[in-house]
Amino acid sequence: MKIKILNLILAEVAVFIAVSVAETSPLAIFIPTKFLYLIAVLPPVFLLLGRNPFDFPLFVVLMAIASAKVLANSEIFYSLLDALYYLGFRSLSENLNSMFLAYKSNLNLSTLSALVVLFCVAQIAWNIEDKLRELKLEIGYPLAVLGIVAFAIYLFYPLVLSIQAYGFPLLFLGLIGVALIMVATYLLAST
Amino acid sequence: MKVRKVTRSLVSVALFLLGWGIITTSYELIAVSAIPLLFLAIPYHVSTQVDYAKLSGGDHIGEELEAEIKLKAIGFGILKVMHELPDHFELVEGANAVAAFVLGRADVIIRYRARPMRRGHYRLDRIILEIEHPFLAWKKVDELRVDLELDVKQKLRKITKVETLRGVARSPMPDVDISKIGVPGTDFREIRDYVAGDPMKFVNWKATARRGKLMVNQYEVEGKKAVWIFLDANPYMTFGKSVRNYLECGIEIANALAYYFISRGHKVGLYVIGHGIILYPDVGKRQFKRISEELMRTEVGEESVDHAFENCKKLLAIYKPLIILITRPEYSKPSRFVSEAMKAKILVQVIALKGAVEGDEFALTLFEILRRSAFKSLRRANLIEWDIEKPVRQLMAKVVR
Repeated sequence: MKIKILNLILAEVAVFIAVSVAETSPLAIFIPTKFLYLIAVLPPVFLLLGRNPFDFPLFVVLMAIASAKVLANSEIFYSLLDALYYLGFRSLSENLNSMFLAYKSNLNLSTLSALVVLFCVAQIAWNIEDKLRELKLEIGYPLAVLGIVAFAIYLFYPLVLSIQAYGFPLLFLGLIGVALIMVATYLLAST
Repeated sequence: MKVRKVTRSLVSVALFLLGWGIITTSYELIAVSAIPLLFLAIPYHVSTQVDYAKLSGGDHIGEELEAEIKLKAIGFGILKVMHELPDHFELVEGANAVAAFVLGRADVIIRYRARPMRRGHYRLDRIILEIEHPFLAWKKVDELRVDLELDVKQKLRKITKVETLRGVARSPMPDVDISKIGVPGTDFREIRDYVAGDPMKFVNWKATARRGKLMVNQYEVEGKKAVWIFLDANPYMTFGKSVRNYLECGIEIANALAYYFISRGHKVGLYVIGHGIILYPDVGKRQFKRISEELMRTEVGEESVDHAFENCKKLLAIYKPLIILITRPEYSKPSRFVSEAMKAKILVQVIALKGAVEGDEFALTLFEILRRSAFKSLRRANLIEWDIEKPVRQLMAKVVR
């Protein structure tokens, strides 16, 4: 029950964050964002149905709402607008372009990070509860560790990403480097 | 490899975000797709060492043993510890597996009571360690060794009564018989020809002078008649439950009989049919210990009773013991064994074990006919039919022909 309540709280916080982001995104032009708060009803409903209050479908909906700004920076989106323009929907294409262009290069990495971190915490807590009960272990310690790890990731991950080299985050370059070393080692060992 | 639910869930989220990010060419979505993997990448390690391991009791079947093992753990993660118990151990109290969340240092204590249900030599030296990721995403399996061993013996069921019938001797019980070989006593038996190895002090000089060849006095030897227990350990003896089957019952009977005869001063020998293990007849508590330990180690093997007889034919001719054959005659067919022994004037007592047989009425009748025909061929030997579920205390109270 503790985990259900925790996940309910996490879900509600995630809904609040996602809708707050939506208010400042191009989505606000199309939908009255106040109505988006109705999504907050979903977690208690899931809870009453005996499901995880912060379920994957809810996460997808929240990510869709929060990532409206993402479209403003998406080359694919602009290519679709070009396609519309070419197909004859010129005014629609131009309108959409002018709306989204205003939000270009306005990154919301920390908001998306918060949503993903909250969802990960909810998923881990939900999945380990039964297993810990089987092992006759208190859930307190793992939850405390989970909280600390989640907070550290939320705090430091965007910072780590901001360290760049040759125009790419140093973290990704490092990961690519490690992967290449492993592939090279495997190839050398197998020949 | 089975993927844990939490791992599958986080990897799915990562892939979903990565896919979405690639489709929309969004740097942000690709960047956040690594977050679920960061939760999985939390390093974990727990190193453990045994502080102490104690074991007390459990020397006999059904006797409770108490085990206590203390481990010292250092590291980070969830530690699952299991002291591996053999199949024939029944947990009575506590648990032989515990789990602990280790953050820094932790003491893990396994404390339980168990009951061995089968005799044997058991090595209880294996501790299985499972070191789990703090969020139960992965695990590493390791093991520790402790110096714990246990010898579980048959509980000694003391036979209180062995029937001896008055009148015509039906039972060959050797309580009053004298030994064939042993230390010569002072009771004179006869004068006989000298054979190489006879002590010179036994030479009867008067008889030698009279006969013109060396003659020696023969004295009655001290001690009682030897008893040689033949225990059948062929595969058909293991039918039934692993903790109580024909072999286990046979071992219990052999152990009890060995104690019974040794405590009355007889020489007792053992032959385990199946492995050709021979313990020559001897007296005393040491011999009982040897027999008991051999019985404790007895496992199934393959050997015919006839082969067993051939193996120790010469020794049987010297000792002329009472042979007690514990078997299932319907399978072992010991008629040749019995007739050969009788020919060599060796008495044979067959303990035919019987147990509950399942099947339809026709099959049961057929089985009973086969049993009876096997018994008929053993009519020259003394035959005791014994139900393996019965207590051994009353063994031999009933003699059947």
